[in-house]
Amino acid sequence: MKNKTTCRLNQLPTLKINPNKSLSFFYQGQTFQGLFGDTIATALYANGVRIFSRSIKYHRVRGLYSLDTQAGQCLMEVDGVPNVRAENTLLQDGMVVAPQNIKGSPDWDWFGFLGLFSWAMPAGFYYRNFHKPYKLWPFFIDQIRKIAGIGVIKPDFKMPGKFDEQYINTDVCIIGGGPSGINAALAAVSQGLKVVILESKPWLGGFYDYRISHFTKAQELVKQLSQNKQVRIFCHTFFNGFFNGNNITAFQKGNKTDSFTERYIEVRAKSIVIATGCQERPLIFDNNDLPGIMQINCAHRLLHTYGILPGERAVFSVSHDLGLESALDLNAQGVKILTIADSRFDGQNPQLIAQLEKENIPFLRGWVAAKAIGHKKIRGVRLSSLEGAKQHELDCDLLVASAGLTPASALYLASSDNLYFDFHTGFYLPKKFPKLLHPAGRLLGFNDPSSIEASGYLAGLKAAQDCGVANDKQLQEAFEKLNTLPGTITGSKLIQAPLKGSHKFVCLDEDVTVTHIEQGCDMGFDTPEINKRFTAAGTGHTQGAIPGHNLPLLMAQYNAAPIENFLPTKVRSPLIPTLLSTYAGRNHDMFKITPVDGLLQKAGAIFRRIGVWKRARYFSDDFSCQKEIESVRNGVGLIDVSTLGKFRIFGPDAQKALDRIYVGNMSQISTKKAKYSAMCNEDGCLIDDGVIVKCNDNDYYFTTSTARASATNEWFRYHTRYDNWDYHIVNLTDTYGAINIAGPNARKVLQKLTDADISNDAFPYLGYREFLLNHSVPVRVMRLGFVGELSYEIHIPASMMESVWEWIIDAGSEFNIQPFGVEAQNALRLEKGHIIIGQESEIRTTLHDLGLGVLWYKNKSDAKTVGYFALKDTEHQKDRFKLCGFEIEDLEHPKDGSIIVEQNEIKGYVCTARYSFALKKEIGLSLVKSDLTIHGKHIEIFQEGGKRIFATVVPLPFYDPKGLKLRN
Amino acid sequence: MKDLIRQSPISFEAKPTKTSIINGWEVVLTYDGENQKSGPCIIDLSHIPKYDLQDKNLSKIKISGIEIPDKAGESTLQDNMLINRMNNTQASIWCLNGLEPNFSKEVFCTDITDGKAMLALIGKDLQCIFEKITPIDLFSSSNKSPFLIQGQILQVPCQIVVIRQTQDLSSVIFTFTRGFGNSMIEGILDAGKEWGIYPAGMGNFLY
Repeated sequence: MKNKTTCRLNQLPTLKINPNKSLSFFYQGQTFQGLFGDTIATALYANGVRIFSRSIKYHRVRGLYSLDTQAGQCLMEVDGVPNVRAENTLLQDGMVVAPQNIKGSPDWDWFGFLGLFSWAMPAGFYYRNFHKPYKLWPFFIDQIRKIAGIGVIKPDFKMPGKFDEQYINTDVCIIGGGPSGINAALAAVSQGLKVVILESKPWLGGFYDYRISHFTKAQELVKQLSQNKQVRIFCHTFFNGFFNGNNITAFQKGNKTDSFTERYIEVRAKSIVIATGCQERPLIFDNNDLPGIMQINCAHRLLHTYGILPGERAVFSVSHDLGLESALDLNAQGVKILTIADSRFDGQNPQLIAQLEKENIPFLRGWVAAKAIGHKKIRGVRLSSLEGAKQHELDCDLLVASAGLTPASALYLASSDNLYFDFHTGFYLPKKFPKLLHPAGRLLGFNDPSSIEASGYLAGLKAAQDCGVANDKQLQEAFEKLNTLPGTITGSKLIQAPLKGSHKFVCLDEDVTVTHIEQGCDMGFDTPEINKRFTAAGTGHTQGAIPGHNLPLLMAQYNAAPIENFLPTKVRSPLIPTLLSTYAGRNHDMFKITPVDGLLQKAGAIFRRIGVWKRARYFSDDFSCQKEIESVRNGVGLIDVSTLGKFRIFGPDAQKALDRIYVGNMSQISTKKAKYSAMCNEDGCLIDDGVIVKCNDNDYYFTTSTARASATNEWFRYHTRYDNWDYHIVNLTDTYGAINIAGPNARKVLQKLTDADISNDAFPYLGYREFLLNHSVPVRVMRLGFVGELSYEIHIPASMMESVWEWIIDAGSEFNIQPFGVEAQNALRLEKGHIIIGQESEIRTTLHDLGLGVLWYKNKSDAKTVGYFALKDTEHQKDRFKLCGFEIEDLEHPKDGSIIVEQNEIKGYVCTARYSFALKKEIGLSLVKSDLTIHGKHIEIFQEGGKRIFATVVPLPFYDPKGLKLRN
Repeated sequence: MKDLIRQSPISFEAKPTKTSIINGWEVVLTYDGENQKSGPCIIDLSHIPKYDLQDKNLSKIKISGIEIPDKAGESTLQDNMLINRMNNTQASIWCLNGLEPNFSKEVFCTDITDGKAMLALIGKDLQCIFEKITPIDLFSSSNKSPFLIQGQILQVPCQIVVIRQTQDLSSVIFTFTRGFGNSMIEGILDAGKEWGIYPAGMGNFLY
């Protein structure tokens, strides 16, 4: 194993690395050393790595170009996670880093030959070439995807790390922690406001922070800001969406000391300041993607932030004074600056020019890099005069190239449709910024530090005024101060070098060249939005960052049309892609448990999620539940049914509301009776069933199914919204737990706990009583028969459920009482032919389809039932799916959901099928076309692989057809 | 047979050092080591009597002589009773001293004590914790405490009352359906870990 070390400049005040703290990481089977504070990309660069990846289409070599992830040059696989942005991901000890989109090695890629055939891959070539004949297109899709995909992830990959989310409400949100952003924050907090700053770098300071001349000022500003408790600073936080209501989304990368790997952040602010500064507009020239070519601030920051010399022999091709400053700084640290080609003929800072002369650095006005020379990294550069008449070549290992500045505009590109091209600055800017959004600093074209800071302060005051605090006088003073300072500067209009070339890349993400853009224009794709879609320029993961402002300028130039007719394309959230895990947030499962969950666990329950609830489904590994079922049929069992919906409805119009929602007649409920009824939707289809009891005058208690409980209140309100009825509903689902004691010995068990007379005469089937258990616990008891046996559904205050459960177990011990779960209940009620809504019904199933038409009371005077008209229409409709029971003629039972066929035509499906231990046969319920419901009819159940199971239609219920067991 | 004990839907892993029986509930007054902790604390108040009051003429009703606030979102804390106006026809009543009040028979109150878990979070840095579990702005300076917000915490519908909000000490009480008790606790303790949140007994409950 090779151990590489790195030599850094370690005396610079601007460094963000700790030269004394090294970190090991693995790359290509070797151990490398980086420093604390490094990103993966800077650590690799310091170790001599120049090829970071291969391009998506041509598999061209790609190196470090920007440190702000403005191009997909440095997407790498880190610890098994693909597409990690190496430029801004902090290095951690032990990281395993691998290049991606490579067949072979970064230096030798088997698909590298594709670049030689770029002439055969014009714009939209796959649309045009691989669709003929069309049937081959799926084949080509596979092949193209194999070659062109970015990153590989295994289907069973489990994302490591801890993900978090944070929802912040604040007065002012400032995007960008540079000099203008900090000044905006200082202005806002001076008005007593709460401020949030989102900064993408791991520190504040913006473009001051890596410049020797401004570094101290940056530190002063940060110190000033940090002293204020009203400001919350989120560094290493990437703004990636802007939505209605001043809703900003972002994500923050955590470091080792943070409690999260990545955190999703949503900020709601009364006002927003956008101080995102500028990015460099890429210079377009032949081979402009070779490793060794980088942006000005990339070279500058490698040197000053990370202590790395980006090269030994450098050529600069720039259009902004920052390029001259960077060249001087690199020169001061020992980089040989061969030449600076400046596309500007004038406008340079005279002090910088004087320094260049002093350092004997050749300086060419009106010159530009026209072609990079080299194969796998840059070996030299051909410079050209702007008109192309003069050229000369230089050998170099570093070319710092930039066409000038352009605003980091993602926020207003995402939020504004009214852009224009400002000829003075050369920036695309909104004609009017959205309300409550205030721009500041360099993105407006300011260059002088005092102006940048003053514009930030003004924006902060404007934001404060949005919050109702800053007054007009303060604003006017800040405005006047800004007006006394240097204004915006003239920006470079240069787009591309004058010489032709086949590898002049406009979009590095998608391997789109100038030629492709021109081909698109020639074919009629002559606006940026459609040209982008045809050529794929700007559709990569960086969206418009690199091609964003060059694409419209280039198209205007090619079409010899006014620039104002060509605008940057829309960008959309997420502006900076991140992990799906980050959007998922904290992986915390919220579910409900019943009041006796702990006791059920002790009893050996096996739980399953049913909706939001965790329920005991089995009490042994025997999933046929024979023992549980037989204890109910032959002795006594108890089941926790606390998840049932439970409601109180009261008020003078409560009965009317019940009549509206339930199909039955509620006026006939007596105080000691439980009434079973059902709810339908407007289509007459069954949505719920339950039991209603009358507790007092105008005071009722009713149950719903587990699944329907959460929607019941709204359902009542919605269907009585025009009636102005005086009634109220209270959801008591969690207030009462419920236990069902069922089986021939159920009465004996219950009687041991109460003095109340619960004999069959005193408390008959479908009766309702309220009494005390053990002289202390007030309960509501309904005598029902869902499982087909004598049974009591006891509703108990939830806090007392554990005690009551234990009392029942104690009382039932002499009868060998056993708890049973949802699966046993399912089999028991199947034997009785009782339906479960959602299992024996679906979206089309009406009351009559299930044989429950008898529940429908048609003659309600005050309140027609929801679904009344549909029920009337469908009552005698033919050819509907009807509920029917069947017995299996074979020994095996079909899977729930199996389709029922007749002469290869689908005639229905199996709702539930189980083995009946009481009847010793396989039975089931199905929904089938009405012509199949004739008793004795043979039905054919289709199974996987084409196998058939045969069954006979039989009358329902299967078990205890006369209902003697539940009535005795 | 065992004696009746009313069970809270909330349970902490911390070891109780002092308990008391209140209205049949076993209530933890202190937990082991809670005095040595400095972060915000979380207290289980599920035993506190809670009532749902619904009437179309709420403004004419007084609870133990206390008027119900006029506007939805307003709360009144008086005589250890917190009355929260939820909407035109509904209010919630929480008896913070744990004693059950006597309502007149005309008042249609429903006892929902058993149906609602209740938690209090007290201390510094509450805003940072709540930001991780709810998008609701609980600490807006435009609200005068105590006030009620009905919204979601960890995706569970809650009634949230901010009792106090100062730079050094905030106090928030909220209720939610009982079944979510343990899921809620796990979620809050996890979210508050970085701020040193710890479970505390009723003895720490200040309002």
